[in-house]
Amino acid sequence: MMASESPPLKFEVALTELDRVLRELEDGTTTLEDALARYERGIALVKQCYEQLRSAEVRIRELTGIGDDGKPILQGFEHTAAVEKPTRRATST
Amino acid sequence: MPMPAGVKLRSVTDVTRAVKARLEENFVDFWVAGEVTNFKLHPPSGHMYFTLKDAGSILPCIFKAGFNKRMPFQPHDGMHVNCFGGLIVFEQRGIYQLEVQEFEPKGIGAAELALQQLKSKLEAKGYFDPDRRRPFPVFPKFVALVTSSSGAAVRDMIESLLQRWPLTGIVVKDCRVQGPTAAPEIAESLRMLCRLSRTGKLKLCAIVLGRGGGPTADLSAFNEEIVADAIFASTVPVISAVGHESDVTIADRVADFRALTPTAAIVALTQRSRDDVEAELDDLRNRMRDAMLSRIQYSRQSVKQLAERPGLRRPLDRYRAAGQKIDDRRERLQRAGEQLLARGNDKLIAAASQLEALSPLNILVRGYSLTQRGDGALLRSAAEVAVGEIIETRLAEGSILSRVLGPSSTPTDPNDGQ
Repeated sequence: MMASESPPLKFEVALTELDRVLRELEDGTTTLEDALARYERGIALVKQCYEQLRSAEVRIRELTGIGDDGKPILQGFEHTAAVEKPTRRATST
Repeated sequence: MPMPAGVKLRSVTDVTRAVKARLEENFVDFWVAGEVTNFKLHPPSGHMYFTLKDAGSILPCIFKAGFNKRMPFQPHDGMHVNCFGGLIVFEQRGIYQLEVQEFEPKGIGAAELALQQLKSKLEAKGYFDPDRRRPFPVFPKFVALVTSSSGAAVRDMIESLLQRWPLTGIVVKDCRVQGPTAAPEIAESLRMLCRLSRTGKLKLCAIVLGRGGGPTADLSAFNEEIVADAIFASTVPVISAVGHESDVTIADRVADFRALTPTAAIVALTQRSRDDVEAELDDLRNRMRDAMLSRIQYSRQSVKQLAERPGLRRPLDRYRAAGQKIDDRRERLQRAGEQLLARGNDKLIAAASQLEALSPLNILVRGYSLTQRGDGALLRSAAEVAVGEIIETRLAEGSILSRVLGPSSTPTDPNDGQ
């Protein structure tokens, strides 16, 4: 699917677009060519959403303060999760 | 009674001092019960002045700043209290006062009263106004967890988030949630996160203020004004998850959402979980496929129908059929024209005879006549003409001119006409 080349949309934006694509397809008022293009776009969006969910990399940081430049001082945070991520638990500082 | 001679005179100061010595020696460290009246706070010194009264008497009191500073609530008139302290005599004015060291409201604990007072104060400031509560985004992108980084609450929240919506970024801000430093630490953490969010350094969509379960006494940090202020001022929506079902803390009431447990806070925050969304995506994909398939089916059907139409199947037929149609039309046109002409003729004859039947001249044939005045008006009454006037009578054939000689009869009764 060509559409997946574009940067991933925000999840809710993708879902809203999917709803619209589906409505247009179900209306059946477009030409066959249009319908195919829409279908292709819809499938690309579904795929994109799935990929986002599957490849979600867990980002957990601990805020320890604010630097002189006004930026947050962050460090890795290991919550002692025994359920899902046994590999992450091994590393400790 | 005159003062006897040789009596030893005492000075006022001397007497007062003696009283002071007696009183202050005999009235130390005792509890006294009464109702507060005339309460006044003297701002420069911080001392409080009031009078304790009961049905029979009054007792002036001074509650010095050094002692009253520890008191969490504000005394007021009408409050029934127990006071602890000792009597002192104010020599210059010759009065005695109770110097209060402890001040306790009756029937209710001091901490409880302080809490009640703080609640009414914050309520009046609009802190608990439900209209203030802000919604959270459907899919949280970045969430801050303000809690103890070593407690069970932080682990529960992170696990729940990973499971329900793994696209969320998480920042943990460690702070104590009980003990004397808890309230200032929580407040400072909230302020720090809001500052980072406001400057765009951390784009937070929610802050969860969490704490695991535990006894009520440990909730005190969540009942402090400094925490209430920080939540109230927060530019980011705050979920409180203090982990105590039966007690609603002040933090719970100021927050945009109150969750009973840290896990419940995450559930509220992730309104649509990963499972929900995946099921929804499956459904969307199936419906799109069905819609597409039926669209293709429809197109195929249309093509088939088109292909089966006679014009496409046998092109010559079309021309032949067209030629026949033209012949047919020409014939019909001709027939129609003739009919129209015939019908027109009939109509003309009918109209002429109708016209004739309506003509007044037809009546004259039957022997009637019409008489007109010189100006052409038809005569209906003898009264319409004058003697000597010329009138014209029209018959079926020709007309007669006459001069009126006079009326032969005049109509008198309309019923008697003719």
